[in-house]
Amino acid sequence: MRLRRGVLAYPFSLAAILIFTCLLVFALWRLWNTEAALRTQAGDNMLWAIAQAQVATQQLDIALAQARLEEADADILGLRYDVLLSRLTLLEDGPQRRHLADLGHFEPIHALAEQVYAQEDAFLSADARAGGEAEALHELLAELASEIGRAANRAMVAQWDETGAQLDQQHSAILQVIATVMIILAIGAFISWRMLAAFDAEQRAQMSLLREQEIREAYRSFVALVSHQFRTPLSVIDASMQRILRKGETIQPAEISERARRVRATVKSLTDLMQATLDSMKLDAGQIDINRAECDITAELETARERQLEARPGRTVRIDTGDEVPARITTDPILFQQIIGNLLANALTYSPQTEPVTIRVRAGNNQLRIAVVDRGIGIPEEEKQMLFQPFFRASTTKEVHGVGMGLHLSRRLAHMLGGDLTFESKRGFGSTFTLELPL
Amino acid sequence: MYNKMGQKFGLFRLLTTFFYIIAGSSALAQPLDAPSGEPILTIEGNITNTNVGDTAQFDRAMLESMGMVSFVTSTPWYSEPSEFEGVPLAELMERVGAQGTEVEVVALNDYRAQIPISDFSTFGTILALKRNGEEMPIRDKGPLFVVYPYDEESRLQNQDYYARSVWQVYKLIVQ
Repeated sequence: MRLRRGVLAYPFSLAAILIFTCLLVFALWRLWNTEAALRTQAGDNMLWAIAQAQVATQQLDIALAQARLEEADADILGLRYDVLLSRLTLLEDGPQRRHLADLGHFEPIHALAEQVYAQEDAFLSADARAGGEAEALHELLAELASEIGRAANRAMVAQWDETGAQLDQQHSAILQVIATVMIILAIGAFISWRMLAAFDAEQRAQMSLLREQEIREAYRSFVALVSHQFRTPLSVIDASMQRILRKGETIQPAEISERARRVRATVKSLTDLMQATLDSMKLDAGQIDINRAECDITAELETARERQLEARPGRTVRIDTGDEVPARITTDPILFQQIIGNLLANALTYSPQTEPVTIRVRAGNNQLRIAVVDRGIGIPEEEKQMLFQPFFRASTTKEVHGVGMGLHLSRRLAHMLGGDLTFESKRGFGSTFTLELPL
Repeated sequence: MYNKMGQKFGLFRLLTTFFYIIAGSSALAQPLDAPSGEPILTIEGNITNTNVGDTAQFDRAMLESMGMVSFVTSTPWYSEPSEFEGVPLAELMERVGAQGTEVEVVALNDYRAQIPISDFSTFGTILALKRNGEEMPIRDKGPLFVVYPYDEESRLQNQDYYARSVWQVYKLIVQ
């Protein structure tokens, strides 16, 4: 699954970026087109040119009529004629000509315009013309005006059509651009998400690499520690055996039994060491299961006390339970016994025979606190930080046999039960180890 | 390179503006003669230098004697680039002592367009009398044509400026 995702991720992202770019170009292209289309207003100009030609035609017609009534002079007539010609020239040239041809109105206008050009002399001397001739000029202009009017009409309709089509086109273009931008947004979000995911994965890979290195390092130091711990008792055993061998026949039975006792004690400590190491490794591997059950607090503590006192007759362990302490707690009774047993054993081992050990039980803040209080040798200030390290033994405990794993394991078990193990100690006055468990 | 050119132009423009101011102030002292020929341009409105009533009227010779400039430019009205020759409108405004910000240009067919007077010095707009060396007849956009040097600046190639480019001009009203 991971592999598939990894292999597919690149083509997907690549395709997404490609589509993203294409859509962006497409949107820009559509906008560009629309903008260009908005700039061309050929229709408006055409309509204006036609309208002006019509006005010029009618103004010449009016000048003609005024000339006949002798209300205007030849100058006006000439001017109006020239203006009309300039307008007709405009219509018969360039884009206007093409446009008129498209509308199908170029030929009739052109034919009439030719007649107007041909009759230049007649127009310019219209004031001197007879009624019939002047009437013909008027007829010609009227026909030209109405022909141009029809062209204007057609141009207008054509422009409406064109405008409508253009609006439709712009409408669809804008819709396309909107849709494209929305898709671009979605793809952009996708690409960003992919990038973030890739970044996250890389970060996580780096973290797990670091963690792996840490574990390897811890394992290496653990192995070194364990082998060192094993070597000392092994050399003790070896030394005893060498001595027996060297003395051979001359050795006294008393010395043999003394050596044998020492070897047995050392073997026992090796066995303990192995058990503790195994426990610790089980903890590391997560192989210790927690089986929670309802336990009677007083009964559990009583059991722990009895077990310790069996091995140490004559010692006193007091249990002091506060009124607020509930009768029961839900926890793993075996692990609970292991922790309390270890704390009690320590307290009894490292305090004088005459001093009692107190188990003080209190509750509050949804916590059960079990304090094992001794009046023993205490822990040197400078060694307090090391106390929970595996195989650590305080310098004050040299004469007493031990492995140095008890507190380490106890605290780890306390953590597994959701609690904690803390201590206070003063050298020469005693120690108090407190197990806190959630209620 | 561009910058240098721009500076050159700027300096040139500054100098011509000074020239116009000096010419204008001397023109103020020099009253306009009445046109001897047929007037082809009438300037009215907010002007201080007049020759016929409240207006300043020019015949072709008067305009030509003011000093003609010319340039070649393509236009929307002709398929080929044309050479236009005429009077700088800025100079013409100085000559009549124009006191406004806008000029309404009137064509023979009564087409009207408003032009800011600032255009004249900004772009060197001319009132053309000739195209390709020939006088322009009324039949071909004459006698006078407001022409901008469209090819010189792309922003002139725009409906706004085409609309100000009035042909068949016969009257200017300073406002």
